[in-house]
Amino acid sequence: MMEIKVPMRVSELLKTTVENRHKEKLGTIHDFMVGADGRLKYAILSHGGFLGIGDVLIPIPFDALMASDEKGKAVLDIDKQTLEKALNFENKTWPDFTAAEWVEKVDRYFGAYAAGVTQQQPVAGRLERLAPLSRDGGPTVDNTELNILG
Amino acid sequence: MKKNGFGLYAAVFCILLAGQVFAETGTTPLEGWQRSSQITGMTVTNPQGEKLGKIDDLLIDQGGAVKYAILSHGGILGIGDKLIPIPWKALKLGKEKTTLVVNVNKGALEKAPNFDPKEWPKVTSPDSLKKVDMYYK
Repeated sequence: MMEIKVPMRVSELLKTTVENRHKEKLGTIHDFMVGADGRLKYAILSHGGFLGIGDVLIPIPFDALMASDEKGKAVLDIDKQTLEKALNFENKTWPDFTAAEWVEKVDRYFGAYAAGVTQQQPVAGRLERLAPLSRDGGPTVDNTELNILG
Repeated sequence: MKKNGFGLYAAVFCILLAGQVFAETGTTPLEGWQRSSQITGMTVTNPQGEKLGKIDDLLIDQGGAVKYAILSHGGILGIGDKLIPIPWKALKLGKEKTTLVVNVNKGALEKAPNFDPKEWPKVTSPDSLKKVDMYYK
């Protein structure tokens, strides 16, 4: 988990810098997805971009985040290239987390990655891109807004 | 005797039904996925519809489970307000699903464990949270 101090304030966890083991900055925590059971299931990582412009949001299973020795930081054991192939979306096109497949894909991706690390095997290829959430029957966002990196 | 037997069955059935209703209301006010940034800022009322304040922050345990919502109460534009921790389990989703409801009247809320925003670290001590749990029991 991210910190050992219990309980933790959500407002303090926001803006946490996430790094990998090579001290590469992967992004900052922008938000959390709370499940119906009242648990923080996903940290929404803001990755790339500059001053919040051009960044993508990547849901990370909360359990995959580890505490860092440094205050205000957390560790995600993943390399940048793999992270950039994970499912992501833009701030204006939040996905519908109630779609079971969505959560499944995120879990499978990070789960498969964790398994790949222990087996010293390359990670499975990129996942399908995410279908944007169409609000109130409005126009579906076209693919140019789906910012898939890498 | 037969009649009594039926009464017993009816009583058991009622208990089962009550259990079912209780299970459906559950221990969390959420119905589906919610962004933490959208939970903070939610208005909290009592069942009488009186506005008690807004959710300022959430306290989670090590496993990521939300344990307490921090209610910001009173004050103007964030000045002079008190922060009141409320056990997550004491909150229910309002009818219109945009507010949270806690079963406490305004007078009782004034006496509930509260703190000044400057006192933050104290709040998360096991002792002060125990007092919060007791108050909303």
